[in-house]
Amino acid sequence: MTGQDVRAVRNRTWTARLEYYFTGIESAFAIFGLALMLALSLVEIVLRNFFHYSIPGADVLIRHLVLWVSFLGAVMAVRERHIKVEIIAAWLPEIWHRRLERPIFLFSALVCGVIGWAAARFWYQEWLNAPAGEQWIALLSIVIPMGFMLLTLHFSMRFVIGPRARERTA
Amino acid sequence: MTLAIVALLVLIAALGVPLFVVLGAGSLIATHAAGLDPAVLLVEMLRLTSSPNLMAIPLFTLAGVTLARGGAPQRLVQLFNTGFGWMPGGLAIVALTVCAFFTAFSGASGVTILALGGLLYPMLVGENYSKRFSLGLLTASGSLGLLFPPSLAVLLYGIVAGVSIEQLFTAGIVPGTILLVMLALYAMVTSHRIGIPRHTFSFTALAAAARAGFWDILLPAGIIAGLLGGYVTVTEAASCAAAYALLLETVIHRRLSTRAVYYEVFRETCVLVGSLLIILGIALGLTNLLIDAQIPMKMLSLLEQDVHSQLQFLLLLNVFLLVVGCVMDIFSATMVIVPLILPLALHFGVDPVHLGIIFLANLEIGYLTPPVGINLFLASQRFREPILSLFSAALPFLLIMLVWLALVTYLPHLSLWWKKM
Repeated sequence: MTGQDVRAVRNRTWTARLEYYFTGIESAFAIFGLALMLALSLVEIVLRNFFHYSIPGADVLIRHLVLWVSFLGAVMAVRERHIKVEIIAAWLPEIWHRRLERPIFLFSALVCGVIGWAAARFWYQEWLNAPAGEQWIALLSIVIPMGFMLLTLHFSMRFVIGPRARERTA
Repeated sequence: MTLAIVALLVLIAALGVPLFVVLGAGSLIATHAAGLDPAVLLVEMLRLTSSPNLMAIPLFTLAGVTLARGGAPQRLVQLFNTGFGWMPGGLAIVALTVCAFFTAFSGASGVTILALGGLLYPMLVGENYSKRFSLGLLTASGSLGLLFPPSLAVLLYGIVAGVSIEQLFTAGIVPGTILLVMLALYAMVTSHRIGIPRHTFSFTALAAAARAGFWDILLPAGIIAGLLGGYVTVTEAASCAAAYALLLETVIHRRLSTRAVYYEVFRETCVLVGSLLIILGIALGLTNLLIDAQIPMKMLSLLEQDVHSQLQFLLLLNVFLLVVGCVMDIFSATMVIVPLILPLALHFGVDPVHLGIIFLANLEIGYLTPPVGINLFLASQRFREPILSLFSAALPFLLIMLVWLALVTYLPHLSLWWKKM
């Protein structure tokens, strides 16, 4: 982090600082997941084609890594840009975009919270019912409730930060 | 009541709520109405982990982002310009070809217009192409190449519709090439009409550009040969493409030299993949609820009252998808619309592979049409021109694309020539 970055972070509100640090940690995990997915898939190709061997569980791990990267990427996209349809918003003046931001973040946080709660209950059942040798697979799928909880947290933080604070601290 | 809820969801989507949140809200309402536990949505999401081709999406995205960051667009423009620049309309043909190449890699996510627009626009205007023609050409080119391997849109359609991705790529080659040729012919005629001077061909310049761009061009060639020849699976091709792109930009071109650049490439990939696959996860749950509620069957019985032939169905489908393309981006539309129209298309005897090509061709055109054709917005942002003037500049290209759409829709052999009919 450069001196300028450090000053920029210090000038933010505590919520914006929290969001900044959280996003940093999540980005690190997502990048590690993507790099691991690439490395594992390459190793698998070599082993399969030249040694007719496959690392036990590697395929399952790679498929779950897609979920990890996707959820953490979706969390990172809260700060940047999610895919939107915005037919009306595209024609609205800038001031209305700013006015709409907070209600949109609050609504998004609520929806993610409800799905997250359902996901947590679902995951817990999966964990309890997983056969002895497959509990690690159930553990990997914890990313679904965790992802929705993180999305709830980030949308809530964006709701608190609001468009003005974001502009001031950008 | 149901209509009011759907209208409300459409309204909040139109106001700018992220699409996955809108679909999530819709799914929660649907589960509540059906007296189900919302946990059923998560069953479908977890099923994503059993899709063997899903891994190809992040890895092809990584390859595309790496190439874009590593300066491949500039090298390819140079290579194609020395190769085709001597032809009438040479630079315009170069623009079309490079844009098609990049859209195939970036999946029409905006990289084409944003990365190549700024590079090609001054070149076109500098060669005396009119501003209007240049803007129209670049705006229309933003979604060209959507049918060529390793297009993410094709991958996603294959995953959602449960159709062989290799077959889809094979089916897209001829229609995609026909569109390129039609637009190239238009560029040649226009260039001849306005008297654009032709370049002299220089073998030395071509050799120099080929040395710089050879390794870049090898990647799509390798993917096409590997996939269509059946030597590699889609996921193997994706892993190799990502590794090759990273190696190319690190070792040969040395454009990815610092940790910060690597961080940016991987981070950008994660954000792109995350914003895409979260929609897929939620859409799968919602689609399952809609199928359980017999929605496609109800649509079919409604349709059967007025539509009696495949031709009528295809006409209606074209109109419907053009409207969808105007208001939704290609990825969202694939995840939301495909599960609904697939059973209808099967009922009217449309091959699911052909349906994929029709679907993507329609949406490719939808990118150019107001009110929210995404190419118009991106081009407006990039070239600082009003959306309506860009639309009018892209109109001749749009008309050519509509003729192409009719060919692709009503001549299934163009897509299914490889299949025993």
